[in-house]
Amino acid sequence: MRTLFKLTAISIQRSLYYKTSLILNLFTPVVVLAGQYMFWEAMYAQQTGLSIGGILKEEQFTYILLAFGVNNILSWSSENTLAREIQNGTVVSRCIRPVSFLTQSCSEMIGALIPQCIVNFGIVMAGIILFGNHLTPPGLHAVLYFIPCFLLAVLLRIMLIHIFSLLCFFTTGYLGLSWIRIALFEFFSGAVIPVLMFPDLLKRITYMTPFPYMLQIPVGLLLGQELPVSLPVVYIIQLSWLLGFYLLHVIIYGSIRKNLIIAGG
Amino acid sequence: MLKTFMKMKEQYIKTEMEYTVNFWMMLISGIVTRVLYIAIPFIIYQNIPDIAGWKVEEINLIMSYLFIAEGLCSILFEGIWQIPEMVFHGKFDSILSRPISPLFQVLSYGMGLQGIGVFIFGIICMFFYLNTLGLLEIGGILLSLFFIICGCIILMSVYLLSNSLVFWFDAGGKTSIPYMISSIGQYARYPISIYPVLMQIILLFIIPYGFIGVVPVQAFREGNLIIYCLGILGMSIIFLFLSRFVFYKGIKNYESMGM
Repeated sequence: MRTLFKLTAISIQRSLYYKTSLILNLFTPVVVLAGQYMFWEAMYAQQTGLSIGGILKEEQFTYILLAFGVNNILSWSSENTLAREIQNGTVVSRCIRPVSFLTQSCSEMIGALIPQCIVNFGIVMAGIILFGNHLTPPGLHAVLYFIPCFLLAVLLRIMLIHIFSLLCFFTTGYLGLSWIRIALFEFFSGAVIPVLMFPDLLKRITYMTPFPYMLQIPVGLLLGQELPVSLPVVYIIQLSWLLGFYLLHVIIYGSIRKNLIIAGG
Repeated sequence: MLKTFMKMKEQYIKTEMEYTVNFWMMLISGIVTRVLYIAIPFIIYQNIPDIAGWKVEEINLIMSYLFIAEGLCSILFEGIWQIPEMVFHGKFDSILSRPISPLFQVLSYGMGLQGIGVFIFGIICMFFYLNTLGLLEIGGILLSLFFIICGCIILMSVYLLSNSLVFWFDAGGKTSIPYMISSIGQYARYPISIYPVLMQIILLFIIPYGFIGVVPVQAFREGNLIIYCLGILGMSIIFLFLSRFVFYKGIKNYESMGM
């Protein structure tokens, strides 16, 4: 655990070093958030009824704000650090360190997401304070249920990125893998459109994947939306996916270590 | 110049095709991402009857033009996305030391294989939706070709402009700005008339993605083809020269690694 904290601190230091870049990277997602609001505002303005797919405007606006906070925790560059290192060969330094490969990868991502999470929290709170009349702010109970669900969702996301990054050992095209991962995540997690709006069959398929447990479910919990399964089962499913990803890591990394040839040194 | 450019691309594709799995994976990644993108309006239209009077086929035609432009830019001008890294790691020194235009070198550098998948998928979608909308005739195809060329120029210019910003601030070899600009541009997948005036101005004149897909489809809808075509051509030329200007202005700001 000490190693994890130490590496996380180093990662935060690295993130904070380039100040202009840091500020721009932290606040640029806000512009995208504004775009989403305009889009859904326009969608609701087109409607004669009060809801789209059973979701009221206030609920949808709160969903967008909260989904933004949960979704934009890692920038493109932080997500792809390991993949890039694998591609250019500098990953070798990770392999020879006396710290587990997974710990290094996780701590680096946690270090990068902490400043972003703080900013996102500020943005979400500012949104609730400023536009509370147009939103459905969550209750205290919902927040309590949300916290463990959110932490598990973050870990799931980190593990997903880690597994996809490991696949870069088998191909030089890390961009392709990253795009597939991002597209699958954005679509099936409910980051672009709430899963509740999906047609029934697609909704059922989506809930069989880990993606909604990284975004739709935690945000749905905060909003008091009906969950596809009971709350304890949600936690169990999240933990099961985490275990599944961990096993995948063990298998893939084991295979990589067997085949890895380090030139020089 | 063009011959050298195409020769370089040919060499890149030959090199990449040596790695068969990688080649196909990149190709498929382009298609998978765009299939998911095109599924979004499908879901929206399951919940609402129409968007500002536009049919789902028209929205998908907008997306097709965007996909084709993105695919072409990825195949032809992928090097633009390498600018931040080149600047940070000092690789830009070697670009400046060669007796060839730096812009030409950047544009011809590398190739986005996924662009092939995106381009092919975009072409298939375009023909499908042109046919669905009753526009699949010689005039429609020639106009589409014109829109594609202009769209590609506009997109390349936006990419160049946004990536050239790294000359002005220390980004540690990575910056989110080009991705953010690209994300904002994606709102032009839908009729921009649904947005507030400020957003319309942004999508038409600041990040002019609107001229890649929405304006061409609007031209088909309204029929004032000459005015729309002149507008699209004008924006392509303006942004091409603007991006070139910003790029060379940025180079003057570049601090060498000391070769």
